[in-house]
Amino acid sequence: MKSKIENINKAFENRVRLGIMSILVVNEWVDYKQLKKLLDVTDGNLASHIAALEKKEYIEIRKSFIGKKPNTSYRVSQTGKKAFGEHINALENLLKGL
Amino acid sequence: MDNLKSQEDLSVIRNLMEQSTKFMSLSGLSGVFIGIYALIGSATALWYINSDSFLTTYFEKGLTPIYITFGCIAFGVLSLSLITAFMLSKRKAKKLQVGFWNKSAKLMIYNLAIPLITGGLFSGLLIYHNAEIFIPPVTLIFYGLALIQASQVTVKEIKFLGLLEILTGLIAFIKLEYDIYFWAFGFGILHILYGIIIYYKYDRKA
Repeated sequence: MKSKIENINKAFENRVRLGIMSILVVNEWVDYKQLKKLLDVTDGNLASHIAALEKKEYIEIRKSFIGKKPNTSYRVSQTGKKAFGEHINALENLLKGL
Repeated sequence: MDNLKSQEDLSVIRNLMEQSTKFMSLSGLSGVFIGIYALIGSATALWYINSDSFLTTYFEKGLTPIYITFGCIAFGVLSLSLITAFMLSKRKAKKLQVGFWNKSAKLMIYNLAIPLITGGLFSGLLIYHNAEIFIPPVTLIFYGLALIQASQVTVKEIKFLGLLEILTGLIAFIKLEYDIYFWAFGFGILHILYGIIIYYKYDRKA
């Protein structure tokens, strides 16, 4: 059984992180406001999970301005895409294993 | 990591992927309204054709004023429909707490626009070649194609509606003498039925 859960990625065990990755893998750049709306979480919560994913280099960050307002967008990195794919496969295998 | 959690994780992933890429703000009510406008529009057109002033106008001034009248009816139905769809989608987006003018909305409009604009230009060319009789079936077919294209980025039921519109258009092509009735069925009745289905399936939960 151990081999099956080997690929379960600890970084994605949290729902918010899982959610961020799910959104980013099927979109290009997504801005902070959209992420917050889709995930329905507080600023502090979202910011800390984004920081964790950024630290692992799973996501890339782009800061720009829309008019005078700062706007931060995120996209998944190659590493992140690969890690997320492996995580989903692991989840599926785990379910198939039953 | 138990199985229940993995199962829930997968459904969270699936939902978020869909929500973030699909245009879910489509309102069923707007389908019902658009259907009603189309029925009123075609009833007005039929009434005009059968009225006494139709023949007098035709003999005295030719076809131009008749085209203008039909053009005005069509333009009225189209603009009312677009305004209604826009406003109701905006309202639903607010209810769902998602942004209205997001990537999925743009994708939806892009998907609808190409077949619709082609159909519009094609209809214009039919007038140019004095083949107005083909306009109802042609608009039904192009609209059906537009819906099938758009179904990739919004509620999937739209695809079946698209197929029905194409079928109605093709039958109208065979029975050209009744094509206004087929047009009223395709744009009127089908829209109302689909609007109700989508309303009960998606809107009430929102």
